[in-house]
Amino acid sequence: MNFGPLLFLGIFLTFAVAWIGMVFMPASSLKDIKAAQVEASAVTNPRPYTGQEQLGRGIYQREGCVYCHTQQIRGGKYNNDVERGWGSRRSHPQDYIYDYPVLLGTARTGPDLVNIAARQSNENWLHTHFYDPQLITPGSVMAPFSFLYTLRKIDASAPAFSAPSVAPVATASAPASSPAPATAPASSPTSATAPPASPASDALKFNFVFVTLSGDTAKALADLKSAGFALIEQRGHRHVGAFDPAALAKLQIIPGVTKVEPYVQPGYEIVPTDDAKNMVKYLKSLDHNYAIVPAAANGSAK
Amino acid sequence: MSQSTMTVDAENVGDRLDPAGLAQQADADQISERQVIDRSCRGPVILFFVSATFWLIVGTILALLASIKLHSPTFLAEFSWLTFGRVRPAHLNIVIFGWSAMVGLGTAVWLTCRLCRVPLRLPQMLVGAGVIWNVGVTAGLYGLLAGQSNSIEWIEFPPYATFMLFCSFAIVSVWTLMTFSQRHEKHVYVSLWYIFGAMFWFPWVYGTVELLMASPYAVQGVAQESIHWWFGHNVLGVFFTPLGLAAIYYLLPKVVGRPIHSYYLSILGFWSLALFYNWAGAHHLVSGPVPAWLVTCSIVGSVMMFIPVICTAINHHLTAYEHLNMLRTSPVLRFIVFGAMTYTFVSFQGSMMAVRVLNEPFHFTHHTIAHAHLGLYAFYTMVMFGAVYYILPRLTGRAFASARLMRTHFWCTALGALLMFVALTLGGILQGFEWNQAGKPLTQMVHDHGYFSGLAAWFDTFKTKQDQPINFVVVLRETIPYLWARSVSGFLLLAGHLAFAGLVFWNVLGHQIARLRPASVSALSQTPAIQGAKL
Repeated sequence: MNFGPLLFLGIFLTFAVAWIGMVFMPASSLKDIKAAQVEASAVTNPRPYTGQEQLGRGIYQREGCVYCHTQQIRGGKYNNDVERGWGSRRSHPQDYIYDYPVLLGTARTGPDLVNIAARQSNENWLHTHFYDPQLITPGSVMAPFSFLYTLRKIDASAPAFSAPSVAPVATASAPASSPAPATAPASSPTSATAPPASPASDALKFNFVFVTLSGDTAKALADLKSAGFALIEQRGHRHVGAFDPAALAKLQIIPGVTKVEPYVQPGYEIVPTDDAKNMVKYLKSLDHNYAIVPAAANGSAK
Repeated sequence: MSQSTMTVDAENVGDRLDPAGLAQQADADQISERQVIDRSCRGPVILFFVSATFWLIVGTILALLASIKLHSPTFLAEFSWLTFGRVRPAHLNIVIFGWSAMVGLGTAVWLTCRLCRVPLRLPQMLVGAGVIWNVGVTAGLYGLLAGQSNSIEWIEFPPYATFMLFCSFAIVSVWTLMTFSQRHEKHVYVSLWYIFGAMFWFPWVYGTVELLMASPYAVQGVAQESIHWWFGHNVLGVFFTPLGLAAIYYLLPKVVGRPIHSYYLSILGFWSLALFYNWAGAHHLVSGPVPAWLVTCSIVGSVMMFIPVICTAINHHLTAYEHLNMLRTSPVLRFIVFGAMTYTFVSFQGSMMAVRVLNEPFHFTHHTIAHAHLGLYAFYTMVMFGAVYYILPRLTGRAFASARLMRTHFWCTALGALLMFVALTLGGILQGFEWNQAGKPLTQMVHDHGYFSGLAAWFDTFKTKQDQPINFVVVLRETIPYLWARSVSGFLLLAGHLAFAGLVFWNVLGHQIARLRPASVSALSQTPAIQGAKL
């Protein structure tokens, strides 16, 4: 007996049934979900992305953020997604109707981002975190996206960083070292505002400092700390910390400190590219904490 | 010379005489028929194997980069082309479409010819498909590193690459169907069932996901994710798993010299796999923003996978059981048995992990990565190594150059895979507990109470529900040692793969660079004729 056609039929049917269940049924039953109109306003939940946000979403896809960050708050009894403060409620299909593709994610090497805008909306914080994540979250394993930023020479007329006449700044090594971190907001992540470099500028505002130590490092670090230097971490032979760049001279005189360098080379500033700006705009749109109106109520409202 | 040569020969072509006389010896006609078929397969199958080996090395290097970047984020950070978020999908897609698919297709083509008892017809078709496939993978790699990824896991390749892969696969599918319909052997051996299923199912899942998720005709909202994971799981379930099982079902009896334990059980195994595996997928979305019935269907499908897995396990392990002493002499058997044992384990584990109580805490952790590598590496890839070691000498007529290098390959990859699995599983369990239960960080407990009582105290903290979950970054820092261990395992795997690649290229180019001895005809043709698979 020739089993060929029978084999083919079986292979076809088993698969067709599953296709109907796992592809056709969800696609047809979820396709009519609409954004909910907020009463007496033009706002909908969720709202469509703006053009820039959509472009930023493209960067999110391009740089593979999804491999470490999920975008979903799970319900269920056996997890702590809501308790962790990542969202006020479980994610709902309605939240994703404008997403092409939907980026739910499969790994949480980093925290969930579906409501990131509710937790952090400070652009300077977000930019600093992109540029050099470890400045803001010491111990983070997030990849730095310094290639989305440019190092720009400050216009001579613009008010620049207070020129550090202090340190024998390593001018030779500086220009090429764009990966070298810049100055960032101080120890507290939320207070990411720092001395305004140039008011109209979109440059990153932060005040991080590298110090090179010799001799009794522990003592020097203690002295630095009491002088107001908030240590973040050691990088190679240097320590990076937050400090007011206008007062670098105060650090210079501490015993054991052999060199003080501002994070950003004097006369330069770090400027986000359009890609980075759009990305931040996208992240600032991620807030799904609105209430889901039950389907019946939704229908009657119309 | 003669003594050592004989041993090396028998070892290096992967099989031996059947001592127990359980299987019928191949007669002269069958031996010459095999030779005709093997010779006809030479061009296309060697093309597939050599390309696959090349992509394996590329994929491993990308994997190492990604692994190192995950504990040392500043490593090569200034190059946008090598940022973690691009290297990781590049690794995944290269090992899936470059290595796994190509080596699987090469094996499937050869098995199809052998089991249908027809010499390979229209080799131009397959060579063309192989070339298109390679161009597609190259284009896809460029696209990903250049920043054209769509971030849909498993199908990140840009559309132009995807299109080439789809066309190429369609050619192989048509060729398989054609060969099948012209077969001389009326009996359809179980390996052929699996191959036939894979060749039919894969274009279906691949076409569905590309059309409904990654094209302008994408469906709206979270239905995409259902389709996405239906593909993501089925590319394993109905493509790689069937190819791996087809190879085991053929090679295991051939090498140990006795038929498969129960042929009827293998049929039950096949049809239950066909029935249940393709319902899996939505268990990647447990408690996520999708309808509960969808997730429940997938969980049921996953748990029902116990049936085919148990059938297959009985068959594989009882066939291999009495011949485990041969593991010392046959590299092919070593890889195949390692793969078969892992298949049983990883499938049981996968079924368990689909259940909500285990899935919720341990989803999103490094454990997911451990599980994925256990399936695709420790099962599928190891089986395929065995298959290449068995098939290639029969195509080139040359034994492999060094049995020692084959042993090096085995131990590097086996230990590397084991180390990766253990490290990431432990790291994942740590994450799962500390994220989803309110407790105390393990490092703190170990610091306070010493190692063993600290571990016990750590477990105890999870019995009481507290308000404040452990800080996310604290947990992240605790996992760093496990990520380092993964990088170490990556170096082991790379060493093993370089040994493998050396053997393959050396064998293929043998007459030019190394003056490799031809394997004796008897060593290559001693393989017994197994019931259902005479050739």
